[in-house]
Order: sequence, then structure tokens, then C-alpha cells
Amino acid sequence: MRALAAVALALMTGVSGGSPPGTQAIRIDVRYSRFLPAVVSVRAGQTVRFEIANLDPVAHEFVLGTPAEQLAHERARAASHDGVPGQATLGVGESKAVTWTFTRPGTLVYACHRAGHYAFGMAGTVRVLPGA
Amino acid sequence: MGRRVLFCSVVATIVLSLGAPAFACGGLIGARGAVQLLKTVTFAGYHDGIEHYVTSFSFAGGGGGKFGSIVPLPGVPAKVERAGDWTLQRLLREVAPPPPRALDVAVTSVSSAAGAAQVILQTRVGALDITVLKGGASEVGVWAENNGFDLPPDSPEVLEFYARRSPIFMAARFDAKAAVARGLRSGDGTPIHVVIPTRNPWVPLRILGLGKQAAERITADVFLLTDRKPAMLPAPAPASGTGPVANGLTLERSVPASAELLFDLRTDKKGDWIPERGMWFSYLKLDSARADLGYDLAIDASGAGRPSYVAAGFPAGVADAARHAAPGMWIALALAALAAFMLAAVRGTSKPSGTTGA
Repeated sequence: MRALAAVALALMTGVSGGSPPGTQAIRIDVRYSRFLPAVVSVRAGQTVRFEIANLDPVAHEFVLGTPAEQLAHERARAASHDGVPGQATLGVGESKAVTWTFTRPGTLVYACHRAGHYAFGMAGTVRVLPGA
Repeated sequence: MGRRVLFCSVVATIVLSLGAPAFACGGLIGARGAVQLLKTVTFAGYHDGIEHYVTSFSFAGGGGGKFGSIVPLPGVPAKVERAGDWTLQRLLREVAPPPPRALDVAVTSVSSAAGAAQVILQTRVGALDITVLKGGASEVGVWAENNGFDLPPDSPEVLEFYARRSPIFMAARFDAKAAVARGLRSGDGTPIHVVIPTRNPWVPLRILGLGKQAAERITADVFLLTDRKPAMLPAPAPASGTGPVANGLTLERSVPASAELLFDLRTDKKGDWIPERGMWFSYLKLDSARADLGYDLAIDASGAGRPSYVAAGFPAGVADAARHAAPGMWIALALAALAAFMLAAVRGTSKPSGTTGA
């Protein structure tokens, strides 16, 4: 099921993978149940390594997907996102990296789906601009 | 040390939604069980450097789940035990007398409104598993996560707010199965009496907003019983003086405690430490939007009239500034008053030039 979701996400927006040369690193801090920064912009075709640091005293998630996929995650919360492309579960004080290649212009969302966190506003936006 | 007694009781109307159990209650953290928490009742006392703190939980049904609460404490408790059954109700009755025929009831329930934390005390009271933790916000957060507490999204800020002042937290987990096995019914409560040696008593209020939306109203009844008229910070309305004023906190009653009230409180279980006479009774009502509830209630019943800024939850810098700036502020006010007096005197003895008069 997770693999299916990952393939669907990849077909729509991009692909997960290693960190090839030219990978852009973007650091995202989690503080007081917010992502900082809350908006990032990348170019289509760009591979991005999100380096997420949870600075909160509670666990959080980083789940990359379309707005519709975020709503689906809200309805069916996963206990752990580790090992799923574009996703990570972050324990207290943990830092993890998620690598993603954005294949086409559009808008994606990264969010936390622990109980109440998404409704609280724990989400950020990835603006995928046309490739250079 | 002079004999000082402080009673504080916070009665909050707290409702957990079945759909979002971890998101909808103040100071209480729902797990994934079916139990709905209706209200938490908290009572604390202060006598000769010992704070007596009572929290009571009520629930609305079983279902095999559990719920829990995390309560910040001003110090390490010496013991945790079952509290008397009707002290809280008696205090409520003091400010909202029921019909006369209700006087003979024997109420046994309350029905109104990263590393590792150090576990310093564990006990079970009725169906409640009590764990007293010592640690920073991260340590307590990890402990809560590892023990099945679903922390709401505003908990990082709230945990840090309290951990800056005191590293002591009490986690209370109500085992619904055990409650049902003990014959507890919906609305029944289990009062907990926590005995805390401390020189710095305060009533946690901000924790009541945990998990609430910014515009949601937080309501609570706060009872104080001291042997002197207490000074409070932030000051409740109607406030006097120049200190910070508490948003949404109103002093409804401030009178000598009646002999009847003191007798009733003393004769409840665990109430024998309460003095027989000479107490001052205060009743405060909290009705505040969650966004405005950024403070706790610091109390000074010593007669010095200097409740602690730190205990009220003000940042240390503000506390220091207030401590050092207060005398200067009085001087400035005195100079301003003197200047106003002199100006009035000058106006009274001279006429402005260039006017013709009436």
C-alpha cells in the first residue's frame, strides 16, 4: 500500500532517490509544531535533499505530497513514515533527510499528520517552478 | 516561619471530543481510547512551606481506552495519595450554594463543569496510575510519547513554558478498564492529593488551554484560602496598582473564611492540616480566550505583597526588569505627581499673559 502510494506520488510530482550531483539541500526546522521555512521554491527537474530537524520536545512527521494526498493521510494516519519515499517520522530532537526529484511544475505540501497537528497548521508549501 | 495556608482550587470545564481526543482538552491529553474527559478539578494548599495539591478526574464512559493528564508541579512531591471526597464540592458550594435539601448529600463524585525523564514517584490511586517525572520539556515529551500520550500540537511551547520554572510534572493516566472493574460510573471522579514542599506556590492556569484553539474560551474557578489576604500576580480584575493585569481573571469574592467552611474542609479526609480559624477566602473566576491565557497565578500569602513574576510564568527577563524597575517607577510616579501639583499651584496663582479675560 505504501509502495503504491509512493509510485502514485512519483508519477504525479516527482521521484525519491539518492543524492546525485547537483542536489539542492534545503534545511527545514520544526519548532513549536511549525515548519520553518513554511514555503520553499524549487525548479522542475531539481533534486532536493530536505534536511529536517525536529527541535520540539514531541515527535513529528514530514510527509510530502499533494494537498489531496495530505487529506488522505489525515484520514488514515500511519504509525511510522520511515522508509516511505518522501516521508519521515521524527522523534524528539531527531534530524532526518528526505530526497526528492521534482519532475514538473506545481505545488506540493509537506505536513505533519500526528493527531491535531495538520489542523493546527503544521504544513509547508513547495512551489515547483518551471525548469531553467 | 509564620503559619501560612493557601488553598487553591481550579475547576475547569474540559470536554474531549471523540473525534479528536488528543486535541480538544486543556491540560489533559487524550490517548486513542473511547473515554471522554468531562472535567478536571484541581485543588492545592499551602501551609508552612508545604503545598497540598489536589486534582480530580471525571470521565464519561469506558470502552477499554485510557486517558491521561500532565500537570506541572512547583516542586518534588513528598507523597501522592487519595484526597478527601468532598472538599472540592464544598468549596464550590461556598460560592454557589445549592438548594437547602442538597445539604445532606454525601457526594462522591465531581460532576460539573530527550533523554529520559527521571521517574521519581509512581503510585496507583483507584484506577489512576500516577507518575511524577523530573526532566526538561524534551525528556517529558519523550516519556509521554513512549507511554502512549498523544501530545497536542501546542504542547511543545506549553511544556517548555513550565519546564523553565520547574522540572517536575505529574502524569496521571486513568485506566478505563480498571475504572469499570472498580464500579466507577460516568461522572465519578478520583481526587488526588499531592503534598509538595515548596517556598513558591502557584496555580497552573495556562495548562488549561493545552490543545485548545486560540479563540476557545477557557473557564475555571479558582479558590484561595490563606491566613492573610493574598497578593496575586498577574492581578485579577478589578485590579489596583501598576503591575500586570490578568486577562479574563476576576476576583469574585475576598472575605474572611467562615467557620463553617473551615470546619467542613478540616473534617474531610486529608484535611486535618487545615487551621481552625483566621483564614482569608478568595474566589476567582477565569474566563479567557486561550490566546490570552499566557500566565499562571502566583500568590504571596506572607504579607509581603510580592508574588513572584517567575512563578506567574513571566519570562525571566521581564521578571528581572520588574524587580529592578519597580522602585524607579514609583519614583517617576512620585515626581510626576509632584510636577502636576506644582503646575496646578502655579496655574492657581498666576494668569497667563496676553489674555484679556472674560
